[in-house]
Amino acid sequence: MNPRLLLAIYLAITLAPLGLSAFSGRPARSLWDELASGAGMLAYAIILAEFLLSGRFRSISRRIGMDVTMRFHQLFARSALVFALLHPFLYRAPSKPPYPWDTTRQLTLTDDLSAIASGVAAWLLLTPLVLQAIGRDRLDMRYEVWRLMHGLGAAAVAALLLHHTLAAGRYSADPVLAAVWIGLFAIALASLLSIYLVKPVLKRMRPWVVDSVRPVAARTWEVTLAPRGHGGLRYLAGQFAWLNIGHGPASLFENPFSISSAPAAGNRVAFIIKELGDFTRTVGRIRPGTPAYLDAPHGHLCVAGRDEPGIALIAGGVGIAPLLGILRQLRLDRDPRPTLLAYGNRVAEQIVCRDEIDDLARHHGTRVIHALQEPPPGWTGHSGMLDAAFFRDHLADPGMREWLFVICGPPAMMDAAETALIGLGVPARQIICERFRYD
Amino acid sequence: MIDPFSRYPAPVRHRLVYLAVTAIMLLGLLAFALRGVIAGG
Ligand SMILES: Cc1cc2nc3c(=O)[nH]c(=O)nc-3n(C[C@H](O)[C@H](O)[C@H](O)COP(=O)(O)OP(=O)(O)OC[C@H]3O[C@@H](n4cnc5c(N)ncnc54)[C@H](O)[C@@H]3O)c2cc1C
Repeated sequence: MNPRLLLAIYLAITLAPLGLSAFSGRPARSLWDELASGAGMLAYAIILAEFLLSGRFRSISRRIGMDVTMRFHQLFARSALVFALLHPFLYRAPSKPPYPWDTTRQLTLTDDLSAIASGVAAWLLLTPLVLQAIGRDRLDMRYEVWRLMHGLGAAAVAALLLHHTLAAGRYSADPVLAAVWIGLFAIALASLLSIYLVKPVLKRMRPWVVDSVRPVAARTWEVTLAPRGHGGLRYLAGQFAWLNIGHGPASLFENPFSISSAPAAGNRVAFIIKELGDFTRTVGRIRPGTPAYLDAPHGHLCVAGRDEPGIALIAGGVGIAPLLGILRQLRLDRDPRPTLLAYGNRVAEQIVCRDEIDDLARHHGTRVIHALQEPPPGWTGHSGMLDAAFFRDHLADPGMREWLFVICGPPAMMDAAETALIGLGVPARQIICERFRYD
Repeated sequence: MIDPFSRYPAPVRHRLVYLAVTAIMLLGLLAFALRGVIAGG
């Protein structure tokens, strides 16, 4: 789906309740009471839309990338929190039984204790839910535990707010708006059910098994999976999968990894995994034959269908994984376009699949520039980081302005690369990136 | 269509898009809240 269309749909979802309320035929109240109700409605609509921005829906993340989807999820969560926190404090009308002559409840707020209680409970739950997500890295909590708590907490907030909105909301007395709230809530709930119930069933029908695990650089492994009883995965080079090794298909123990194999190479899929934390540190001990499951393909880091006259791949560290998949595919496709790989690491031992990359340079004609921050004596590649100066030196050729640039690596390197490319006059649509960390 | 934010790198561009969407939401909220005041003259 086109990003502009996605934005338009997002705005339509979040503003629809306000629009329907405005045209419900009920007379307006004081400015403050309307601001309070409006802020509440906006907050709830944003919260329900957050479920669709969870990064797991291909129609969204395939177009804009999971990192961007998650960034919007995080940013709009802050907006929802602000609107929700303001909501009760903006009201001026008293909370009391309606006056007999005030049939549209223009002058009073609900005094129904259960309706108020569900709102207060959601209000109290929302703040820690958002703050815990913002400060997740500083919490001493496993990612999977946090993810479970976040999902359950969000579902509880959404359900409490549905009760509060329908029972306390003045405009929700309108059957059309009530139906919209119930419909949006049902979509949000269905999105959770699809991730936690439907996807596991689909994964169980397409199991995988670990074929091999081999070291490809310092503390970095290549894990290859083979399909068990099915034809494999249809994906594009550069995409990523949620990988679960050694757990049941419904397990929360799954991590995102780029696919480093090329679809044209056969039905096995490979991943290059760097040791970092709880799961990745155990990868070297995984035995061939271990069952695995994939939720894939995801992501938009693809050159398939792009017709730029050349392709430059810029990788830092394990960011090489998807770019290796792309290079492998270009080679198998015998793609005639010139390619350049700029690949930065701290030390030479971290260079992944070095022989294969040298081979790509020899046989596919890829121009490879290795950069090392701490080069060994006699190093002939670039010494230093992939920074602004590097990009100005190596990508300034005017002929490259029409190329496609694919970037994956540490955030600082990606920012430097993109800023330099835009400074060199490369249009943003010719730069594609996927971030491994979206917070 | 020309993308007004295409001069900026992705993180800046996304924040600008976020701010633009938030501004539209705030305008929607204001229009909703002010409709009584405006209608009442
Ligand atoms: C789109 C994408 C593609 C990636 N591709 C690769 C790759 O090809 N090779 C590679 O080595 N790494 C890749 N990563 C990073 C990889 O997912 C993390 O290093 C890994 O999940 C860390 O897990 P852990 O249990 O070892 O570490 P932990 O100590 O549990 O976590 C360290 C950090 O990793 C992140 N993380 C952990 N688990 C998850 C999860 N289930 N979902 C999302 N984030 C998580 C969190 O930010 C966490 O704070 C990719 C990440 C993304 C988002």
